Amino acid sequence: MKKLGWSLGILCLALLLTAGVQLSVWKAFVPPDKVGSIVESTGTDLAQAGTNWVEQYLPQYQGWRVPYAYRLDSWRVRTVEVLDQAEGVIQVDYLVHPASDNDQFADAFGAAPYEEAGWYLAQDVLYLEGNGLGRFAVTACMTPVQYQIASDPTLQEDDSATEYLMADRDATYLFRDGALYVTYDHGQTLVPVPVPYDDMTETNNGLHNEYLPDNSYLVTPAFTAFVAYHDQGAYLIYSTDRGAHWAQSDIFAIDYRSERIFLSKTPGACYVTLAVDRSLGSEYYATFCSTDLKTWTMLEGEAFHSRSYACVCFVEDNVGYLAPDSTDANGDCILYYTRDNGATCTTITLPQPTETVALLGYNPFVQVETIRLVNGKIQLIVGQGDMGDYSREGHLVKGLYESEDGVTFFFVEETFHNPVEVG
Amino acid sequence: MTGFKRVLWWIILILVALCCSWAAVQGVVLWAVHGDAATGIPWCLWAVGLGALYFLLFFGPQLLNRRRKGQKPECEDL
Repeated sequence: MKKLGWSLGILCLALLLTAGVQLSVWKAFVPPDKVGSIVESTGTDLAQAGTNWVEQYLPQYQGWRVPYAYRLDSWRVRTVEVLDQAEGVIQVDYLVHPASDNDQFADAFGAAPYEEAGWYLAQDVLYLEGNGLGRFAVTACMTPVQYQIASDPTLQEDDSATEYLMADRDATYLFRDGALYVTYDHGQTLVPVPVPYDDMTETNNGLHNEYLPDNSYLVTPAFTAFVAYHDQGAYLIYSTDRGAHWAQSDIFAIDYRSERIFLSKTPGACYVTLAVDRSLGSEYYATFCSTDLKTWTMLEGEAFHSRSYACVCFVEDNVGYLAPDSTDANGDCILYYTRDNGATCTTITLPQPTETVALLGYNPFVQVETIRLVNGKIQLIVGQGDMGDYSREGHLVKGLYESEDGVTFFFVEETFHNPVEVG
Repeated sequence: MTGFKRVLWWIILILVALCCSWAAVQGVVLWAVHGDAATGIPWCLWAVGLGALYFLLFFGPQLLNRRRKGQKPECEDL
């Protein structure tokens, strides 16, 4: 039995060793760059250079060091077409046969299954720069579609970002030429906000979004604030003197940008709700409070059990409303009300809009979108959620609710409440 | 076994163990991870064959010795 143990031990060691070596080598594999690759050819014939490029470039995808998602067994050139002789542009169509016919190969290699079983078709448009002695360097590489778009101006979209300015408000924000401005006089004077453009607008997928939803920023003469992200996480940039001076305050260290942000200012505190975690496609939110705009405390309590919100707003110190982005068992809107920074809360039931319910047979207003304090009254704009389809004149209808005591709400009217954008 | 033969035996044994493991890694990655049974199964068969050779090499000399001496292999030999 001792010998059997030895034999199995040696075999296990060998297995660990080979698996470790092989997996680490595969992990270190970086697909060789097409741009910068050198082609040895004869003369200045671009078509011949294209054929040679395939023969000289693809062998780098062979051997035990190449993961099976990339590894090639064999290949052959299908066609080489000279697209622009003067610029040295060629399109190379070639067929590749992977060492393993697996699901990842087509994506990893950028090839499409070919009519011949087991073969894949790859197409590259290469910009070749020759030295006149038969040596070419690939200076650019793109797909045929990319080349078509690049060479045909009619196919190029205007990729300049949309400007948003809420035309129905005196004090609002505006992005112009990659910079953020605020205005307190309906756009007559623009005050620059000293915040990097990427910090404000970059999204998790690397794009830019210049639209800031309601409740995610504050622009008032007394207090102007935006939540932005830098390498250290989320921070608040704010001004208390109509944009003359600005200050920053780090809120929470996170490398994920929240899709929704809720910002509110009360006489003695500032509240920010943002995503602090994300899993299985859902964001999980936390609310932070600061009384000195320097240190932030994550609030905990009964009101924060939902963790995913459609709207959060604090209207007075310690007093706030939290609307989860889900409905109750009856499909009605949920709204939590707290008077102690969320430690405890009560659930507010919104009355049904009787006329709308009579017309449709159900209450379409199920998700609070905006909470605001107007002339001492709390107003709620309640939308229809993702599944809503009750519209008039091409716009989704929303419900306006109002409360004088902050707890008992009345349905006021149907509203559209769409931001009026110009620019 | 003489010293030289013993060293040679160990070298061959370790080489066979490494080859067996290598084949097993390729087979498992191809078959289980990439779902490519057509390529993965032959590697797994190689791993099984080399594994059998490994155990044969490991226990073979001792079993041969026993047989030469006219003794039956015992459980302790394993």
